[in-house]
Amino acid sequence: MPAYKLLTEKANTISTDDRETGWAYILSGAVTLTVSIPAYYLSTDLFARVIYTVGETLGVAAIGYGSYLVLIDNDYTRYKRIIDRVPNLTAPQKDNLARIFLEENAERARRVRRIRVITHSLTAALNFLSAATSSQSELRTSLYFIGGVNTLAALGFGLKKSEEEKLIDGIAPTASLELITAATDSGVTTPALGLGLNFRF
Amino acid sequence: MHFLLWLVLQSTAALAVPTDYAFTHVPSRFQTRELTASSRALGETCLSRGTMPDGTICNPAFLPELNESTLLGRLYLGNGYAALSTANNFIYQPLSKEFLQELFTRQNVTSLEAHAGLSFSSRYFSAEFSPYRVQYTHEVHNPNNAVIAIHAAVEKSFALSAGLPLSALDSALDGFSFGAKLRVLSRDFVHGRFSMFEVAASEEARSLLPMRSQTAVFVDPSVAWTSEGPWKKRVSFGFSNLGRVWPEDPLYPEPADLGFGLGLEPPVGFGSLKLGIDFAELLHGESAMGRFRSGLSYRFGIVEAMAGYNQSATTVGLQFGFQLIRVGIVYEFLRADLEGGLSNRIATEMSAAL
Repeated sequence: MPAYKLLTEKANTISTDDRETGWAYILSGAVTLTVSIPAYYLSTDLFARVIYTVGETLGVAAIGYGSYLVLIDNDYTRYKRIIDRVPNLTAPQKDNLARIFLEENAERARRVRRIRVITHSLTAALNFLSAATSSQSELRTSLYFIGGVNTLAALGFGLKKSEEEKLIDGIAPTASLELITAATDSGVTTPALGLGLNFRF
Repeated sequence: MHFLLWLVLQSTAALAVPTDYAFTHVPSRFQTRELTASSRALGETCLSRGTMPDGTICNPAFLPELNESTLLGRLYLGNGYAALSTANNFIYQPLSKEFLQELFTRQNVTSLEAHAGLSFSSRYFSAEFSPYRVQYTHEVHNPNNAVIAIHAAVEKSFALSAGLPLSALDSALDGFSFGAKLRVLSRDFVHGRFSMFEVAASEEARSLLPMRSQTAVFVDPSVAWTSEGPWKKRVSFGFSNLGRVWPEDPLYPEPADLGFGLGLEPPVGFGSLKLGIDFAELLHGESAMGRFRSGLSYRFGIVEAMAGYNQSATTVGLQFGFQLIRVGIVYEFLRADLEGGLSNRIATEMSAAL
């Protein structure tokens, strides 16, 4: 699939999801506040009051996060809008820019994944070390448990590609020979500046 | 004069609450396997339910449905802090006469449950470690010759679950899945009764309530079918408590049993609605209604509203939260398993993704 089309689809999907999720957060946050505020004053149990206090905070946070999702565009949408606003870009040029963006995103996600593998591995090692030297049996078992989970997480992140990385797999292999042109401020395309080879495998 | 004495004795007898049940049984809610706010609020349904409101899976056959991995730390508390410290004292501290005598001055029925645990869930696999689960109840009977019945238990448990779609074996089995949960638990508990006079006469307070211990290993296998399409019908069938307990104790019989669950997720415009009915303990349940459990939940955004019904209680609950932190509150009504009578209780839970 052409990279620009993939970028457009991805941007639209995330925007739709964000809008729906955002409104769900805003409305459910409002419901949470509507329930939690009176319930806090009506409750006599200490722990119930704690729960409703946290509920109030979560309600406000949900409204804030929901508003962010509804009002602030995601990176894909913003980048697509930038491409669309550049005048006189040809379809292959748009495609190239979209592909570069998707590859950048995939590379960033791959690095984040690598950092996660290292972080979870180190955490696991430290948990195992603390567990091995702990004399308290419950703490020891808890630490082994958390260490085991971190090992699984490290393996999981190490073996499983992120969504961004999978996305560039969807771009059709391309090999094209293109004229590199440039547009002036007035929108007039200048003659060829060079010859470019674009190959992706 | 004789008439007055007779009248006083009659009134005493009338005040005395029937005591047999509290002295020979563990309250039914203490037999709950999953001590979480979600499980309580959903009437303790398990077999019919896919993902629980807290993102974990109760029935291992539904593990293949999980899309995300979560590590949760959980703290559940039902019914008050004072009782929590009392229960701890019974198990871990030297018992003193003063401490036992003080119990007679408190309210007639005190009950508490608490649970701290770690839970990791991912597609095909989950593990839970619960280093601390405490259950405590005491009832004071017959104010004129006060007798107290006490049950306090502290449990540690570890569970490993795995689930696989059976379509991997044969495409004709599309929609079917199999899962099993292995549970290992260790339980220390005291259970008994004593009067004010026995406390005063005893030289060693612990002799009134000797501590007992149990270890158990159980496997709970289950098979499930989930339909394709928007209604997501579920049918599940499972064995429970296949394994061994040592030493055996009539207070915790835990015999091997069968269960059956029917679930449904009707499509709704906003959010998600889930309904479930469980028929648990088919072989050893005490009555037809005792086998019946039902629960429903509706999730929208950060709110999940839950309701449940079983023989012991009608429950409603709310859970608020993001992936990172969740809080839950459950109101239990008409819990009639204590001889102290019907009562309302509140259970609270906080969980955080680690």
